[in-house]
Amino acid sequence: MTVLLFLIPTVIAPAALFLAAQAAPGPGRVTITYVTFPLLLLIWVVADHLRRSRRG
Amino acid sequence: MMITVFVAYLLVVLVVGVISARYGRSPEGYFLADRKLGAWVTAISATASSESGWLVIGLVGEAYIYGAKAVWTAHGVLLGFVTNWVFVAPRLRAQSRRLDAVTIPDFLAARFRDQGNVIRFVGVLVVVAALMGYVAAQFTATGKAFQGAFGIPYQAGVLIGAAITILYTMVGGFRAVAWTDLVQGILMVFGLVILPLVTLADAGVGRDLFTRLGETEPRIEGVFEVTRGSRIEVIGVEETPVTLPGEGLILVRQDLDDGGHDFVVQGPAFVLDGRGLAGSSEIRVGSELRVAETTIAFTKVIEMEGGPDLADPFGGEVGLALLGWVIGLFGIGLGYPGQPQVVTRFMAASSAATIRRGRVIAIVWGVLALYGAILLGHAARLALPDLVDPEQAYPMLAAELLPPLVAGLVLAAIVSAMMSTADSQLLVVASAVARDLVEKGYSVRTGTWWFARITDDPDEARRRAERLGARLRSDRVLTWISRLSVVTLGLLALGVALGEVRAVFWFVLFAWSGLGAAFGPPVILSLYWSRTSWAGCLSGMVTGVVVTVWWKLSLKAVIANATGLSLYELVPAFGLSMLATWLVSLAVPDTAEEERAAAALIEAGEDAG
Repeated sequence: MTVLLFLIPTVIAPAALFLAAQAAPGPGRVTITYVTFPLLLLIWVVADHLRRSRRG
Repeated sequence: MMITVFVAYLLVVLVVGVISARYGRSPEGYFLADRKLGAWVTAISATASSESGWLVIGLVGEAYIYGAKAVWTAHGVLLGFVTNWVFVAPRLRAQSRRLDAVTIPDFLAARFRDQGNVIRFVGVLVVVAALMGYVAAQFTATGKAFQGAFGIPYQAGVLIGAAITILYTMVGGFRAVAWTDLVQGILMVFGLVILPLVTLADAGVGRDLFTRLGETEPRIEGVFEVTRGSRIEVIGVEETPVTLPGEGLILVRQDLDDGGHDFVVQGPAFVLDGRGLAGSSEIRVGSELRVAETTIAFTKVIEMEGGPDLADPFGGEVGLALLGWVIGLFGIGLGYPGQPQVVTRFMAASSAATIRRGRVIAIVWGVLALYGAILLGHAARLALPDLVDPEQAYPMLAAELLPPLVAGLVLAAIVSAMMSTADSQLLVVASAVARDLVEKGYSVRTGTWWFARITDDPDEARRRAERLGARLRSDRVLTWISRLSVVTLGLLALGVALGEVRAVFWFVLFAWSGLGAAFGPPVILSLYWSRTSWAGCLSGMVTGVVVTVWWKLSLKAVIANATGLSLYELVPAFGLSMLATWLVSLAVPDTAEEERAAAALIEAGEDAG
C-alpha cells in the first residue's frame, strides 16, 4: 500500500500528465502542461492538510 | 538607492545571526536549533536552501532559451518537494528525534547501529566531497552576482558574500541559517512573482503570451565578447553544436569540402565568429587559452534541435529523445530526499503539526517561485529578444523596470538565493565534521575515538580516548568545535572560490545527483521498511555514488549514441541504489532483535504526518 501511495505522485501522475499533454492538440497542450500538474498538487496538499487538521 | 537597500538587507541578515547566537549552546542547539523550528521557518528555509542561484538565474535562462519546454523542470522540482514533504519529512522528524540524530550520516548510523562507524564515515565522505565544492561554487556565484548587480569587482564580491555568510553561520548556527533563509526565501519569491508581472505588463503581453511565444524565432543570435585578459578553457570536442549553457569552450568539428576538417570554437552556446581560431588543430581539449591581444567577439547561436515552436511543451522532441528529456527533468525531483541541507530542516521541526503546516507553505512557495521563474523567462524572451546572456534576464529586467527601492530588494533576492544555499551547505559540512567525525567518531567495539587510535600502544590509545572523551562530552567545547569547523571549512571554500580551483568545482557536477542517489534510497527505505539492513544501506550509498559518476562520465554518452535516449544520471543511480539497498537487505539481514527495534521505531513515527 505504501509503495502504491509513493508511486501515485512520483510515477503515475507525471506519466498521466505526459500522456495527456501528448494527446492534447495546440493550446490545450499548453493548458494541460502548465496548469493541471501544479493545480492538482495544490488542491491535493490543501485538502490533505484540512482533512488531517479536522481529524486532529 | 539600490545599494542602500542591499546593504540594509545584509545588515538584517547579520542581525538575525547575532540574535540567534543567544540560543543553541549545545550541538543539538547549534545544528538543529534545539528541534524547535516553526512551520514557516521549516518550510521556507528547506525550499530556499535547496534552490540556490539556479532558480533565479538558471531556470529563468532555461525558460528564455527553450520556451515552454522548460516547464518540465518546474514540474520535476515540485515533485521533489512533494516527495520530501509527504514521504520523508514526517517520519524523518519523528525517527531522528527518537534516535537523537543530528545529521543524515548520524541518523543512518544510529538507525543501523553502525558500531564500526562505516556508514557514518562513508556518509561524511560523500557529504564533504559533494558539498565543499558546492559551497565554493555558491561563493563564486555570489561574487558574480555582486559584480553583475552593483559593479563590485568579482574578488571583492566573493569576499563580502563569503565573510557575511561565514560570520552569521558561525555565530548563530542552524537557527541563524534557518531564519536568514526565511528572509531570503521570501525575497526570492517576492522577486519571482513581481518581476514577471511587471515585465509582461511593460511588454504589453497578456493572454496572448503563448501565441506570441510561438511566433518568436527560436534561434538566438547575438554577440558575446571575451575581453582581453580573460581565460577560456577548451572542455570538449563535439560532432554537433552543444546548445546548453555551461563552462568553458567546446570545439565543434566541421568537415570541409576538400576532405579536411576544421574546428569552430564554441563557447557555452557561442560560436566563434570568423576563423581566428578555426582551423587550428593545435587546440586540444583541456587546453587553456588566454585572450592576450584583443577582445574576441563570438556570434552566439542557441538553437533548439527540432524545436521550431517555443510555445510547444515538447519543443519538437519525439521518441526516446523526448522520453529521456521528460524523465530526466522529472528525475531532478528524485534528488531532494538525499540532500542533507534540506532534510535536516525536517529533523529540526518542532512537531508533527509543524510538518503538516510546513508542507502546505512549501508547496505554495514552490508553485509561486518555480512557475514565476518560468513565466519570467518567457516574458523576458518577448521583452528582451536579443539578450546576449539569457541568464542575466532577471537582474537586467529588475534594474530596468522596477523603482530603485524594489529593484534593490529584487536584486538582493539573487544574492539571497546563493547565500541561503551556501550557509546551509556550509553548516551541513561542518556538522559532518564536528558531530560525525569528532563527537561520534567513537567505536563502541574498540572503545576509542578514531583519531585516538593513531598509536600502536592500546593502553595509550585508551588513555587518550578517555581524556578526549571527558573534554568532548562538554556541550560548550562541542559547540566551539562546531563553530571552528564552520570557520575553517568556510575559509577553505573561500580560498577555492578566490583561486578558482577548478579541480574542486569538478565535484559540483556530481553534487546534486551524488547526494540524491547516495542518501535518498537508504533514507526512504529505512524510514518505511524495518528489514532494511546495515549492509543494504551501505550498498545503496556506494551504488548511488558509483553509478552517478560512471553514468555521467561514460555510460550516458554510450547509451545516447546507441539509442538516442539521453538520461539524467540521477534517474538510473537512484533506481539502482534503491535496488541495491533492497536486495542486499534481503540477502544480508540484520539480527532479529535489530529488525524488531527498527519496526518499533517505524511504528512510533507512523502517524507523525
